[in-house]
Amino acid sequence: MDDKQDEPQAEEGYESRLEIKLHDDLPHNFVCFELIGRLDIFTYRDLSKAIMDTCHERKGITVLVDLSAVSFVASSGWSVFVATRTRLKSGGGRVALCGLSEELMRVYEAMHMPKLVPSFGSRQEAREALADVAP
Amino acid sequence: MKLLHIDVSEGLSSAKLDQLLEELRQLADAAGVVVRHRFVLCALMEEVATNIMEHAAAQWLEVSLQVDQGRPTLLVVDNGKPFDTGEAIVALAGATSNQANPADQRRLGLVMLRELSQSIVYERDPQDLNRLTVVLRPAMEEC
Repeated sequence: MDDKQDEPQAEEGYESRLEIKLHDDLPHNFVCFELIGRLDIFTYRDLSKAIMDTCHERKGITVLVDLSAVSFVASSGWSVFVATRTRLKSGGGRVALCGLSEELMRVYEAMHMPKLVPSFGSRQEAREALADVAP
Repeated sequence: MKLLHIDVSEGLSSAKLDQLLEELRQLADAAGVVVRHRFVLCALMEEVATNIMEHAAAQWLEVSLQVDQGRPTLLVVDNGKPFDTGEAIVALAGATSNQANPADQRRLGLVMLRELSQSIVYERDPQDLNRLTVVLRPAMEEC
């Protein structure tokens, strides 16, 4: 049975709600997913797939998700970050976020996310902080 | 207290969800709801609407908003299947358990609802409708 039949679908021709840009710094095993739009029930699978396609079998990888151009993250979106953390951990990898707006930060903290996925102000700040600490 | 009636008999599409959130924003604006509460209202509404569509298979839902001394109360009524409160309690109890799957989307949705609101009351009314009342925290109070 095709599970996708039951998934909520964006209308055909409907403007994409989430753009995902990948910045892959291979020598340093550091990838950044820059997101633009909304991370919700209609888009979280796209991000999950993009992360898995990129990070599959890359041991010790650091994944940074830049949310500075994201207006909204639903629980389905937060679940991607936590699931990514779990998947990467066994291979010595890690995930972090950056660029959260004040509103997103409030939800991030309310959902106890800081215990699971660290957050930084900017990409640069994240890179510097994560470079100093091994996964 | 204005009422929004949304037909979801053909499912909750992205456009339908956007329409619902936009109408809720307008409702909140008209009621003088502060910006911070507007964002939280929309976050909660999205979680509730997603839950209704995924688990209740409702044909329609109605949303109303009441503001008392600056504190919004969101009322969502739908004609779907009864909400499984026992399952929700187990899922929320799992939030503090080491054995819980931290990536469980529904659990995170429930945590989001609980943490962003002051109180949530669920009732199955005599007309077989689900009735969810969510009271937001005062604007100055941190989540």
